[in-house]
Amino acid sequence: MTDAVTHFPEPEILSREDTEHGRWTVDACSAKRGVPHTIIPERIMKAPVDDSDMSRCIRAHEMMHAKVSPAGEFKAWIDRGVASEDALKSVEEMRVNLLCQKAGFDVKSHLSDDGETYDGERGVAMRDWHGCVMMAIACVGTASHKKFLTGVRRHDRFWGKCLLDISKRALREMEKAYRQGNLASTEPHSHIGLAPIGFGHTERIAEWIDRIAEQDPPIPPEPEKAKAKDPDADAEDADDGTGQGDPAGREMAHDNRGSVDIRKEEGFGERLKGITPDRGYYDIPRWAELRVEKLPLTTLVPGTIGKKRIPSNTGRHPRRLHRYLTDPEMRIFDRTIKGIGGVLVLDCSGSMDLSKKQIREILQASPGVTVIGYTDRGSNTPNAWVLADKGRMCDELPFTGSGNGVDLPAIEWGVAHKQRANSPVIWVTDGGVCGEGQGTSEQLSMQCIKYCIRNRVIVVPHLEEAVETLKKMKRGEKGRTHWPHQLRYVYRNMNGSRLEKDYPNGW
Amino acid sequence: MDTQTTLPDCWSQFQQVLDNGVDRIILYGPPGTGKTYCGLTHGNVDAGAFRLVCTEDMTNADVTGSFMLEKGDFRWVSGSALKAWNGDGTQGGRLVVDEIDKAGGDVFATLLAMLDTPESASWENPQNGRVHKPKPGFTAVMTTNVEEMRELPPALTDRFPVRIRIDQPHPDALKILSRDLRGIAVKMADAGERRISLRQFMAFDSLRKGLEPERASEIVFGDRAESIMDAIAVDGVS
Repeated sequence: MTDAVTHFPEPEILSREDTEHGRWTVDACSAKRGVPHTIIPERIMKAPVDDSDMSRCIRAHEMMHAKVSPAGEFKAWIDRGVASEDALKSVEEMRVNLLCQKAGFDVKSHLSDDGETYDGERGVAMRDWHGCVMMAIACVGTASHKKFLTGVRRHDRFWGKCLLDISKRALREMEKAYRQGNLASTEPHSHIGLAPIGFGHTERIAEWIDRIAEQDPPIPPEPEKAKAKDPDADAEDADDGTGQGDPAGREMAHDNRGSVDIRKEEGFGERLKGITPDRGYYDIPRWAELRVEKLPLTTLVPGTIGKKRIPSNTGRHPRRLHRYLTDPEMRIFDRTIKGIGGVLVLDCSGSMDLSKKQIREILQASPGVTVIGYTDRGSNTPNAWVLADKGRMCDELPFTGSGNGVDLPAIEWGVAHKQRANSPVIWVTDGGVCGEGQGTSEQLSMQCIKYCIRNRVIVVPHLEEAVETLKKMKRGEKGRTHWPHQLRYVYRNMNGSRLEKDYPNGW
Repeated sequence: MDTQTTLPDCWSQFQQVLDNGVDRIILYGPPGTGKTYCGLTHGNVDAGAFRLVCTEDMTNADVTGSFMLEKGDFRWVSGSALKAWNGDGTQGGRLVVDEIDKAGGDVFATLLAMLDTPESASWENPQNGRVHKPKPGFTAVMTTNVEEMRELPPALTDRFPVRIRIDQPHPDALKILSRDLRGIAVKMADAGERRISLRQFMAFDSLRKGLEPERASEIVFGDRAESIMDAIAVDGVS
């Protein structure tokens, strides 16, 4: 009897710009999804070593991870907050599979473990749209993709159609990135210091996939089993673009729908088509570090941070004796209440304009408000200034308008410095969101929009509106967002729908 | 040597040690990295460089010399160590000893004596009774594949104060290889159990000029051919 031939991967041959070269620990494992893995910082690789084509593709896949995926900095990429961990992992799988294909490995025919059809069925049965999107993206371009979509179609043909469309578009985006020539680059980025640069493409597409995955798919109508069609019958027009469907699925009592609410479902499909990745991408978008300077707040503005006295029926000194006769609740005492406070985050870039008079108006409208202005001027100088706090304001405005650079960090600062949980945070901006030393960025704009929606930050384009909003809130009315034109444009460009329609109140 | 080439750290150390007059050096590390070649050629070897490959079967004749029959008469022929001691007659040469740990006991003892400090080292020629001492400038480079210096006898390591681990081929040796294989040869020279020597890459490089790369790989790398070719393909992606 002859010994079976084994093929252990050779990761020592691989070179990277961002890590030290060294010896690897390579072990054999089974060719099942989730078992083979690569830990780059510890130089550990597990992969099947048998002679089959599938195992060879899995080895190539793991080797490609060792070659191009982030080494010890994956968490730092997640912490940037541009895309979720799930989306980053899924899109990274797609990048790795595409690069394997470019390196000459037939992942389209062989990279599959035959469990994907069941994964697809289970995902739809549980109405796990997010999971299905992630899985479809992770396996696009491989043999798994077709099997996964077959499983999806057994339960919901419309989902299958949508997922196929999304996958194709994602793959096209990745192909475009490949043509730029740095998709597999492992160099560290000169500004953000993160590596590898090629992962920037993963992040950009992952941000887009996140927006698709967070959509709510339409609720399916009740199944009409009598009219149900064979879900695999149209597999040939629903594969990953090759025209070769896989009709050989296991027989099952599926609940695929016979009647489809076309109007409703096609509407969802059209909406998905309107969600697009960042087209203006030329570099990894990045925020500058927020460097806050607290200016000398020498000028006192009347209003003593919004404190005022109101009648009360308990207390020690009856200051309102007349109420003994006039007030049914006989509130003859005083109690002190504080104003709602709030934080005003001002975009002080070159495209905005600000004067001392306006800051005074803000403090008069809401005496307890904290005002922070920001504009990034490069180098290590402060890029945000506390202009007013606790009823006092600065005497001199110290900066001139320059780039933005720290929009999101400044808003985050504002949210973190709210006086109370219900204190409002108002972001005054024209919507021209830029990264550090960069032009306007759709990705960064979307990050700001999402953050403002999540944290109920009121966004207004002009300082006058901010003052009006503060006055309204002082009267007990609710503040409302009036999205600036540029943010509305970016949102529509990237999501195909109107920001003011999706979030009329701002959240 | 091409001075334009940036030397890897290990080779740079070797060069600095030679330039600054250290005369006893151990070069150790994986085989096929050019330790012996550089021992024979680098630094001042104007007075000659002599190689001694140690095995269990060698005798002192290889080290110091022996009488050999020549034209009906016995004539003294000096061994490598003695030749290196004498150098060109005025200046000592270089002795490169490969795998000294594999030498037998008596040879090892003789070598220890020959590699001692210039003040202590001496040997008497049995033919004429003349006492030899190393000429000024005599240097010795020992090479070994032993990774742990603790495995070498202390008497030996004590005579070689400087030990440099050579973990990658010398850039001069790499120039023989095609450009696309140079980086890979460097990385695989110190890959532990999966090490591939520079000589194998040279053979592969030579074979692939006449054969398909896959066939050349099969011939040189055997069962590992597929994995190595796959890794080269993955590494080549941009």
